Amino acid sequence: MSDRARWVTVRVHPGGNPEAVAAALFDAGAQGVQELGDSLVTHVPDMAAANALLCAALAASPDARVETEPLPDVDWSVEWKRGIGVQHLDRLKIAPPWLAADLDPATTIVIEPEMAFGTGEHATTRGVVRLLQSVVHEDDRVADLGAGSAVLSIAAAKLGAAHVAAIEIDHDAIANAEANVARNGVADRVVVIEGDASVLLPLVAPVRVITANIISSVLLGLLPAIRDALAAGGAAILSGILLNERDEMLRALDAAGWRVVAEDREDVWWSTTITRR
Amino acid sequence: MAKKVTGFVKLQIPAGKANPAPPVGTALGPQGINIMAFCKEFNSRTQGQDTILPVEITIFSDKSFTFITKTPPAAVLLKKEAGIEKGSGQPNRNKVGRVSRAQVRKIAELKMPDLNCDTIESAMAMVAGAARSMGLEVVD
Repeated sequence: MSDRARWVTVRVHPGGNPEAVAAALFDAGAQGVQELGDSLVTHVPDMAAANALLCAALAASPDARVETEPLPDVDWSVEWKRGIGVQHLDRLKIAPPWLAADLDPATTIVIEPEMAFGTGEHATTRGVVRLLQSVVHEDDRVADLGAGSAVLSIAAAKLGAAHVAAIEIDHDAIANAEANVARNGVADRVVVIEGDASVLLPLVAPVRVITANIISSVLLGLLPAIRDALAAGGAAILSGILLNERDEMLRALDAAGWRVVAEDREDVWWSTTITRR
Repeated sequence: MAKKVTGFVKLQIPAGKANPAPPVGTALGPQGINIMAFCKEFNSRTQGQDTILPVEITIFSDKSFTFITKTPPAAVLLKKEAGIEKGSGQPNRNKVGRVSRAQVRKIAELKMPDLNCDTIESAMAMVAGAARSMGLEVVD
């Protein structure tokens, strides 16, 4: 990422009424506020937005003090990257490029850790990769919904899938996904597509396998589209579901005509393979 | 052995909508934790709630973390109860709406676990003060 200033930091010393100032900042467009000592810190894309926050803060608390400064657009995950290791998941491994040199490329998914989700460091990614190994067959067509870094798409390709559509709505994840696909030598089989899964899935259907590592509310909304897109005998792997949501999800899956054929649990997360009844 | 705490971060972010851009990224990035993992878990645990939530994140020496969410800020709850978009810029002169004592009690009961109050009456006094400071009249 470049270090050009993409954000403006707005630091507010709220004076007598910090809660009203925080509320005013949200009213004026802040997407989040950090409480740092006695001050409230937020970030906006430009000075016009910063001035709007300044006016809002002063209106809420006339004795507030506001400071602004440019914030370089940096990759905040650098510190975290230092701790990343190799994930051993049955037949497959996930590794960052600097640890992949001595590993077998046929069974290693190499992911450059960026801000896209799916580095192998999260239990939900590992859960899907474990389940995927008994689901994907040679020459399968696969759709990966909420592909993030494309880690699951690449895993499907390394397990033999002939064609994988990696669908991701977050524009910032696309470049990382494409770079990972190229780095793993599967660009002839994995296509990264930017857009809404519910819109794009019907366009890539029918597929025999669908992976969706998102969150439960989004998964429930996608179930009808997943049902329509699956070929006969197909399976979907869902993840991003908290263990304490499992019972509710099982009821919803049952009511919608799905059968649970495998489950994976790690930490507070639950992943599952489902087929149509 | 208990893990050593190396950081503590307090944020207010919309429920279900954390993303790695600032301020989440800028607050958690220097702590060395997996920002995407935090966003995913926060969004999972808070999905479907249409409100701003305070969240307190504790970071440990092995870069793992835990977090707890608090009740929404009183100002956010008051705006919802009063049906207003924003508070008044001049709360003493310019009233933008009203809330009833019953609504103040309802918010006080919800906020009670996070307020430093022993009785519901003192919690109500705090909520009523917050209401007046944003230009809301408290009526019987």
